Amino acid sequence: MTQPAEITEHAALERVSKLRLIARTVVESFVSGQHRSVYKGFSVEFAQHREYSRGDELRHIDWKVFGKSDKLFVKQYEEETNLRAHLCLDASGSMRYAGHGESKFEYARKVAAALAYLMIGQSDSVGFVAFDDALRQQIPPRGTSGHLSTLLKTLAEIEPDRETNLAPLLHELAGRIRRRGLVIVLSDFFAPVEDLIKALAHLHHKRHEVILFQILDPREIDFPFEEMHEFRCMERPGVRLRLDAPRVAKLYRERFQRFQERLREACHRHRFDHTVLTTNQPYDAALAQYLSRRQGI
Amino acid sequence: MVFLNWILIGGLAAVAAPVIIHLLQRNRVTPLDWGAMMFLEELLAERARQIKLRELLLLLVRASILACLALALMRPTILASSGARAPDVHTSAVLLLDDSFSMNAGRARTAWQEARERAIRYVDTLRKGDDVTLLFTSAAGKGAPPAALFDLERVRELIREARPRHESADVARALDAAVKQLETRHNPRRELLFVTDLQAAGWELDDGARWSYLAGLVRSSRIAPQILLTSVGQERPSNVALTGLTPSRSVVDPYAAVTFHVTAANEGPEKAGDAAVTFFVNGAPKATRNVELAPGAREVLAFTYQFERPGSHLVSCRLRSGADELPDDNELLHSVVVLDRLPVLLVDGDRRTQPLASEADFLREALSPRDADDPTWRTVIETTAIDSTELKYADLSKYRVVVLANVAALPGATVGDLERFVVAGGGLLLAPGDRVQLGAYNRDLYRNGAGLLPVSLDKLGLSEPTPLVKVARGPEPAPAYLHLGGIVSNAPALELFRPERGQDWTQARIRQYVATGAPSGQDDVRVLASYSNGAAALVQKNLGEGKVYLLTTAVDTGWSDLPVHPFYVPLMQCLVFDLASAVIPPRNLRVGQALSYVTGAEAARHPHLLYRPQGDPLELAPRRQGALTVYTHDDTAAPGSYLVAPEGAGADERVHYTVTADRAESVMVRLEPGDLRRLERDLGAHYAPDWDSLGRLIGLDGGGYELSAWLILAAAGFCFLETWLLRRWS
Repeated sequence: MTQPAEITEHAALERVSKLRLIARTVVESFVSGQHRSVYKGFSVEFAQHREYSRGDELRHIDWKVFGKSDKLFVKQYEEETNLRAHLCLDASGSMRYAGHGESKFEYARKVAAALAYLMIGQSDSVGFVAFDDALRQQIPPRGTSGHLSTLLKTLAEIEPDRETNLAPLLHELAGRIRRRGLVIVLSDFFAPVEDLIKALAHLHHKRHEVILFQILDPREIDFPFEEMHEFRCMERPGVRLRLDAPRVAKLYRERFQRFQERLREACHRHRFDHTVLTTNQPYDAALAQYLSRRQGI
Repeated sequence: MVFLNWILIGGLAAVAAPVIIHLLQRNRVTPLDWGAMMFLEELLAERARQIKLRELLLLLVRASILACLALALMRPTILASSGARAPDVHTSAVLLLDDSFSMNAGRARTAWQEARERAIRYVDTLRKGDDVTLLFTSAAGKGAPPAALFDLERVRELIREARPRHESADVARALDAAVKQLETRHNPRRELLFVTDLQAAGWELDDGARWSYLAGLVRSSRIAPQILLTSVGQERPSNVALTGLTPSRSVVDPYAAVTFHVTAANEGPEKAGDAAVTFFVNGAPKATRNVELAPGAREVLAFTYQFERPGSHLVSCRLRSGADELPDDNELLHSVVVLDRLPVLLVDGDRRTQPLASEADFLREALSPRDADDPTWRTVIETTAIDSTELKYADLSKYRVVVLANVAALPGATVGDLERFVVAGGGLLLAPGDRVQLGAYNRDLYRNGAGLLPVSLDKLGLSEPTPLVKVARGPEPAPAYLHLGGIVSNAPALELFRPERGQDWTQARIRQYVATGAPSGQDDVRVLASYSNGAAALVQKNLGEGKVYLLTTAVDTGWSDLPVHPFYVPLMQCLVFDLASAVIPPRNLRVGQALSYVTGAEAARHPHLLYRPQGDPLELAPRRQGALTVYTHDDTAAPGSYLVAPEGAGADERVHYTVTADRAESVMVRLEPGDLRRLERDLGAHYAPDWDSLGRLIGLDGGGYELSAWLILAAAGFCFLETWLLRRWS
């Protein structure tokens, strides 16, 4: 049965409000832990001086120049010099997996919201890309508070579906983002590792700073199943494997660890940050990783 | 290798359990939506073969565990290849002892004593855990087999207590029972030891069907039995024996002497020059004859005696000889019933007022001839002539023989009475004539072979006076007649009329006769004599305890000139005597045959005692059967004279019975070496002529053991392997 338009809209607003609340709670609790130091002057870059004129904010007067020349100059900041971040969220079917409680996608959505909240709060420009086997949503970076609402609304509305096609998409993303910036990818990165490494190399070539948040469910790491299961692929309906889980657990874990090692190695080679977030972890681990990286930029 | 508990072979089905569990589990999988599919797909792509191999290996290991346990329960055993005993293998043995009459042979030591010693020596070779079934040839295959015994001392005791029987051996039947008994046993080694004197009489090796069956039985045994034959006794002991005692007449009466023919035989290898046969009547010696018997010779001695009074008499003959190692076959007994009257009912179908005008008239004259010179002279036969219409009112139980002389047809009720009369032991003579209605005879009396008439009647001229069978006239005016021809079957009634006995019945001329159909092939119908053209002249049919004769020509002068020949009177009397010869119940019995005594209700008020060859008199239990009382005694294992008499009865009321051992046992001829080789070839039997060779055949030899313990160890090993593989691969 089709929902009336008002009800649908009300539900969407409620989701956005909830997401905003979560993002704010996460960020503020994190910031209070960091003594609010993270808000100091990261988000603007000095461009040039110009003579003071009426109406300019006094806080922008360069008092050092005034001391040397007795003339009032104000510092002029250019928007282009702000950090341009791109939040890339994997919305493929595999992100729907939820071992216990929250799905990977839900977790990623909240982390992305918190990061957007944090970055826009720091006057950084934040763009957003959602993808599965193609680019589904792309919002250019901006730093206004209204843009945050747009981002949160988009985040709240998006639902994971379809197959991952991560490596070509990262290639495409590397081509589309013309200005150097920070690319934050939230995904489980379940894609052929060789292709993924090439795509990451492409981003590195474009001199982007890249943070990879690999969202995983603990079960995907431990593979703790004790009986015969029919594993149904969440991205490709109809693909099913009947396996005696204990019998293949060791092999699975071996392959998974090998994949992780290769991904970690590739990230290290390109000096990308690679952070594994499991859905049972608090969200602020992602923020801490972001800030640590931001300080290095 | 053999399986001792092969019945548990169904347990091997448990091998399928892991497969079934695997298949069931395949249907019971838990569905799980999964994101990290690429790792599973990759490992399957790379390791699918390995995973399948591992699963297969685990399946095999688990199936092996169950297979080992199932096989262990079936107790597989490797037998020693040489057929000899092995130290680790228990034996199920059947000890078959030949307890036939001939095992009594031997002077200083009988074959039976030797057999007993050898059997006990054999039992001594068995060990704790072995089992033995003790069988005897006299009882093996009759009724349920005795239980197998694990108590070897009890087996020895039973062997010591056993005695030979007075029965002949049926070796094939006994071996059949022994092989079947072995098949029911559980020990891995199977031995059948047959201790015998190898007397050829009981083997009947010519009966190929029985021995083929037995060979097949041995071949199809789950565990091939080791069949051992060992012989005891002398190769061919000297033995003279009385092998036959028969009276010359089937009906004995006090009016004429009867001759008893006694056959003495020398079955041994030595000449018996000092043999003497004594003839006894009711225990009193009447005559003795010396006889000289060469090896293999037979001599028939004749003792004639005229009984003075009717009733039951005991005739016996005893042989004395120095060259005899089996004295138990030197006596023969015969119970004789002496009749003072033999009532015969003549049914006249063509009654005339003139003398000697009908068939019945001729028969009456022949059966009860009158001596004009001596009015007191009489024969045992008493004839009563009635018209055929009176037959339905006649009490047939008063007669021993009924003669239907030219009776046209019989009503159905009368036919039923006659059938009951014959079945109960009566005799019936059918003498047709021109009045006989063929169709009625075939319909009521022949009844497609089920009735009284031995054969169907094909041709009889009833409407015209011309003969049924026209004798072809030759070119000369002298007519050509048929004659009585040969005696084609042995019959006591016709013994007197064989050409060698001086009677020439071929002179009789037959003008007409009734052509008959061929005998139906039943054993109870046979043609005794024929005409010169080969057609049947006299046909016999046994029905129940009685007998029917069909004479196919008339007994008067209408169809032949039989009555004018001298043999006519004795022929008719012999036929009647033979028809009346049935003594019901029989009084001359074989060993093991039940003894029966029948009396009326009045006599049954007194207790009836049985006097046996051994032991005290025994009171017989009466059993009512209609108006009669029947006394039966089953235990006639001991040969000799038995006597049944009401308590306190006189000599006239006593009834003698005789029980005789099979004289085939007197022939002391052993199996030939060729016979033994044949047994070895067909049955796989090994012959051991003495203990030493028998000991070699059953001697201990290496090899052979049960594999159950190893299989249980293997199952445990597979369990460990399964656990280890699971831990390694999980």
